[in-house]
Amino acid sequence: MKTRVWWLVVVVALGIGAYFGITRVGAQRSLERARTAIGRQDWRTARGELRSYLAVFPSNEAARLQLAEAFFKDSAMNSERAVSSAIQQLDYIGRESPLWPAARVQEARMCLFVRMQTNRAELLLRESLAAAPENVEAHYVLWKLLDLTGRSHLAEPHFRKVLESTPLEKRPFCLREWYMSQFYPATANPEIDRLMGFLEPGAAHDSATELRRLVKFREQEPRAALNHADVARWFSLEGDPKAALELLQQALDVTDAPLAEPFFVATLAQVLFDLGEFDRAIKIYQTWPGEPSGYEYFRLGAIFSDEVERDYDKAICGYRDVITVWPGQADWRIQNRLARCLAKSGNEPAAEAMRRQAKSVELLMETKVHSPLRQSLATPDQLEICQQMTQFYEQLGLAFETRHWREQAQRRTLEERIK
Amino acid sequence: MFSRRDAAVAEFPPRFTEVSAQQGVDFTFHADAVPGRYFLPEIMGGGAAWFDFDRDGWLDLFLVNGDELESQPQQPKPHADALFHNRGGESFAEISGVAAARTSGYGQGCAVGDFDGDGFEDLYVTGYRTSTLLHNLGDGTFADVTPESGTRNDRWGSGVVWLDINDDHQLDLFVVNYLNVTSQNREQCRFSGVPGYCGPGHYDAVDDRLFLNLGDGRFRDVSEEVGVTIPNGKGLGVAVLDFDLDGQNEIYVANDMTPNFLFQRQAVPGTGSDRPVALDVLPKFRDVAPTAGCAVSDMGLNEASMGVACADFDGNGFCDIFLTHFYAQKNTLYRNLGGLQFEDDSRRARLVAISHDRLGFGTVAWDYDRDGATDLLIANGHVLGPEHKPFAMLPQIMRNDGHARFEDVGPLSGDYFRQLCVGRGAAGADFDNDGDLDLLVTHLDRPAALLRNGTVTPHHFLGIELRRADRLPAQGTQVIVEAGARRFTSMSIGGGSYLCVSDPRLLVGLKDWSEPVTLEIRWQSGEVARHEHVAIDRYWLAIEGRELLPSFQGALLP
Repeated sequence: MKTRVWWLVVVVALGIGAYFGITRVGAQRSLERARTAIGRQDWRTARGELRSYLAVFPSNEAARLQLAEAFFKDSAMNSERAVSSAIQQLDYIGRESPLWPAARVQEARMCLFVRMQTNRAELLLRESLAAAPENVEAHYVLWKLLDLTGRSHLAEPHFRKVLESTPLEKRPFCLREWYMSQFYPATANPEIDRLMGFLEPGAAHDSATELRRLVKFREQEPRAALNHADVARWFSLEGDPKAALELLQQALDVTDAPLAEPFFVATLAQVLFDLGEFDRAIKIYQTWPGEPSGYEYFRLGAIFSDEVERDYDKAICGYRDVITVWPGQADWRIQNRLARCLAKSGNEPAAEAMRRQAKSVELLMETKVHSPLRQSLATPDQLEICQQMTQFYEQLGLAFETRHWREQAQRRTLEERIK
Repeated sequence: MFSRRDAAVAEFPPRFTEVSAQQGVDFTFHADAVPGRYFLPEIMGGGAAWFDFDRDGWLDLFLVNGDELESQPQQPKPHADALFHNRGGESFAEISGVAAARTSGYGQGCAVGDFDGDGFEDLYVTGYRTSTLLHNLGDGTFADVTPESGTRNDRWGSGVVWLDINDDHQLDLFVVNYLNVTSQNREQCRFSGVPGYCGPGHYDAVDDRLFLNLGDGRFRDVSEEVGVTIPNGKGLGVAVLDFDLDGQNEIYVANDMTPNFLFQRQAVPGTGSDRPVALDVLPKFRDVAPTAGCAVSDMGLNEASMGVACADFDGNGFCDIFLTHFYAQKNTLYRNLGGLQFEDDSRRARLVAISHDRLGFGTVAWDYDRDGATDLLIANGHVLGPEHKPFAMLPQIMRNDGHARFEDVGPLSGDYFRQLCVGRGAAGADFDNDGDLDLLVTHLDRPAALLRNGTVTPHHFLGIELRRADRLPAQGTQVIVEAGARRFTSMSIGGGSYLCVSDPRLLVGLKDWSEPVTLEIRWQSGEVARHEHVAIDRYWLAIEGRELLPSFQGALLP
């Protein structure tokens, strides 16, 4: 009797073992099939296989990431449903997981490109970078996000991280993107605008495209002060500070902590200044949230010292600070202001030198300079183009870009010699 | 909330009534606008000049006309210029035919000056690849002396001003040229897919010209010699005055989308003086606008400068520069800091908010309510073409609060200021000699408008006609009126606005000061004349080196 029971236990255990063994093997095969399906961009199959796999291995976070991707990338799915499902998968990945930064980037991409929630996306990206400062994808998406929200002047550190991790032979393409960010920030990413539906296929990119984009972002996150500031900044740059101020004033009532957002504060201070409301402009500026540094902070401070307080020595120091921060060095308008201040403070020789420098930069900003450059950049890894770009950045005095384009020129020269 | 500034506006709002028909001023500029052609001159409008051509004490009015742009010029041209004779401020009579005050070709701007010193003011009219010098014969008629004078300008001339560049007491002529646009190179541009006129960026600039008066009715082009041929000047407006109070006038040229010029006369080598040692030594001019800070905006941007108005808007004793600009650009106020240093103070002046949705051309600086602060008139209208909105725009009167801060009080100023129109030239003149400045605005879409000033104000004024000892225009002469502890400064200015000539007399607003004043006149010769106990609310004739004389019905004595 005892023996029979023992055999029964053995048989059941073997059966269970076999079942689990077969299930696990089946799950592994599902994962392999899922990978193959992903390779074919057969998202539906991939999702089915990944679900099967996760039923056996629910704690496999890499598979969760892949499943999220399979939802996100399936254009056949209703985008909101896909994003919700994807985010649900990503939520399984906890903060302690090494994949947590990647999951946040994935979520950020969905928030940005599908939900058009730039604020949420930026938060996720910054969280991701806090956990994994070298996460290149996070840097890349953040760079694009800053372009799309009119803050290209903050994008440089992210571009640099992306460039560092880009294989040498691919760098000209990355440098080309950076050139667009620097000189055509509003229209730097036409493909993204098309993808997001702001630009019809074949249509030309113009400033109305940018406005449509910024207004949409605001609609999607009406409580985000930054989005209101983006729209107001657009009007301000179009020469309509009155409209910009109205928008900002409305935003003060409907957004969360607008004065905690430096870009909002900078835009409001600039608009008040443009309207001649100097006292209010300075008062707002003095509430600057966060780090008292950066392009906007230095620029506004210097302009106020110059035009409002007429403290030219202070303004000269301020303008010099601005020039140390991108895009100050290439900002001939700031150089021109600095030249004026130097002249007003009686230092005409320095003013003349700065005026000449500003003029040389200004000449490099003309359409006749940039049109051929943009055309050439269709094939940025050509030797001639690399040389042309090296020369352009050298004239502009931007050492980092000069060095990298020169490296590319040298690489291409070497390659041609080997050939 | 009702502020003190609002209260002031509500108390003495500007009141202007259009009296063109009532006064007999009936003139429509022939722009020769051919639909679909988009030939730039046809969108730029024409000018006007107020001057007392017959010396009867009443300012007459000359209006420049266009012509057929692409056909052979006919003589006389079918669309004639118009000279309106002022009949005692009661009405005007059109006398162009009788007076032979007619030019040839497509006219643009004009300048008034007695180039031959015969006591009668002559007229120079610029145009699209044409120009005319009309000599006032003193008998109520004019003669076209262009060929023999050597002042033909076959470029596209716009602003023009008479001035004496070499202190020989002869009036020379500075002609501002705009663009090299011809039937052959004209282009059509598209804005948001709709065709329109291409702007100055599509065409090359043409150099300005300076004609030296040789004293015998002939002129010589000395542009290169004196240094006023700066490349890439797409000029429209021009003003001549003494910005730094050094006794020497500067020439300011408002350029369209290229840096503005400020020509300063240079010291003659070896003398340390900017005055030539001999009449055959020509002075040299240098463009100091970049160093002076009035070439480009505070952002370092070239602006589309059209009209220019110079006055001491902030009361610091120096003449500032106000420029009208393109749509979605600010108009600009360059505040004069002294020492030939300017700063773009448009934001403090609150011009950004009230100018971004207008495109300004003619502009007149004057104190409409006599409160001692110089206000502004701006004629607005777009240039892309009638297919584009907005094309017609509201004109503006910008009230100065006394600290060079402006607000648009146009809507309070009368019916004319509530009608959309395509304004171009603007000139001010007290045509009825009642002590306030009336206005004239030329248009592209309607006849020229004569606007009588009927502003009701308890404030007082002093009118001054300045006459130099050599009878040349008193450009650069500074007038300081002391009313108790208050000082009101004003300066005689040559040129200004856009294509137009305003009343040369100075009208100084004295606010509520009702007692006689002290009048100090700082002549360009260096002489300073001080006149005590000068009665107010009337015009005076101030002749250099003599006592003040009462002016006959407000105008100069025979």
